[in-house]
Amino acid sequence: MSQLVIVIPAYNEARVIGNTLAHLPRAIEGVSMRVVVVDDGSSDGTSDVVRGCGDDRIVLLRHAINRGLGGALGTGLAYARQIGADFAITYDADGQHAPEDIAVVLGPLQNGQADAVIGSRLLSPKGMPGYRIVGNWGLNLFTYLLFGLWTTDSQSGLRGFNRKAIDSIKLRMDRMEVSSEFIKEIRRTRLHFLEVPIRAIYSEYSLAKGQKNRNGINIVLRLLLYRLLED
Amino acid sequence: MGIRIFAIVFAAVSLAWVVQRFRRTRRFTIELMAWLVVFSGIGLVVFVPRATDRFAFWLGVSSGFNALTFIAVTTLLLLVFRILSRLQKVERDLTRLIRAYAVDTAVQVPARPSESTKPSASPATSGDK
Repeated sequence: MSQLVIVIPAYNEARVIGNTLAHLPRAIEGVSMRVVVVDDGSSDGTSDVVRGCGDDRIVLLRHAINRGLGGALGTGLAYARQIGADFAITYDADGQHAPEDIAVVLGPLQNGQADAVIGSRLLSPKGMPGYRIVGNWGLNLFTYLLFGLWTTDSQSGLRGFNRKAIDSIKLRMDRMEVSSEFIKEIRRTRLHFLEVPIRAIYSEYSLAKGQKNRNGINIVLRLLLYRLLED
Repeated sequence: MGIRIFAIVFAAVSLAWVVQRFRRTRRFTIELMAWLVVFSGIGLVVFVPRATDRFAFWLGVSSGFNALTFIAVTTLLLLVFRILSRLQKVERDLTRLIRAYAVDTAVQVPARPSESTKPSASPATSGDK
């Protein structure tokens, strides 16, 4: 049976991570599941909540100090690479993804339609705040101009990769700009890429934690700097 | 006049710092030489401002002051670029170290006894790979 690793980066998510983990699917057809939570140097007891959730499919990796979203995702993928996982899916800890969308993202990977799948919230943006839609399109456009691959949701946290993608994607960015770096890597490594529509669940908590438009400016600046200093 | 006094004091203090550093390390490195040239140059320009005019003409700007400003800004930009490059490398290396440690010390979450099918297989394992 193929092995699926679900990578969940978590930074100070003690309030919600238990709920997010509890709602993950018990099983998905055709794969054995392992959930990798990367605690990115949290100071609010996120690791304690994860340890206490009593699900032995979960593996906890802890960063001694905070390295950012990109650092945490890179660690999760490094683990997936190390155990020889067939598929890896990245999944936000703040509860903004619908657990049933994991199978939606996994489907095209399982049947060989794609090496990398982006779960796009903007293919049917029902319930998404207007300012988020505008901000996301802005970053999509910027990502396209910088890296030459168009996607309707470059900042999505729900993405899937097969083993070829897990082995070839090399992340170098540590912070939020990693979402655009995934797009860059998909293009650089010429992976077959597909988008599938997913649902975003917006709560007060996830809106406060997720990417705000002012983060967008930081992302743009960091991406520009990265392009400038790229070696 | 004020700028001359400021430049002279600045150059003198900086030269003293360079000399002190040389006396401490007893090593005459390229870096030390570069600082010596820069700070001596500042002193020279203050005393002989016309010395830079020929250079300004060659550069295609109207005065020595403009030429020096141009050189200073360019040099500072280069230094910032170099520092950012180094910083990015240090950040990347730090992430690599922390990642390696996190993966090496992965811990499997123990199952709740009532849910576990293997009651003895649940202690948290260090170094799960």
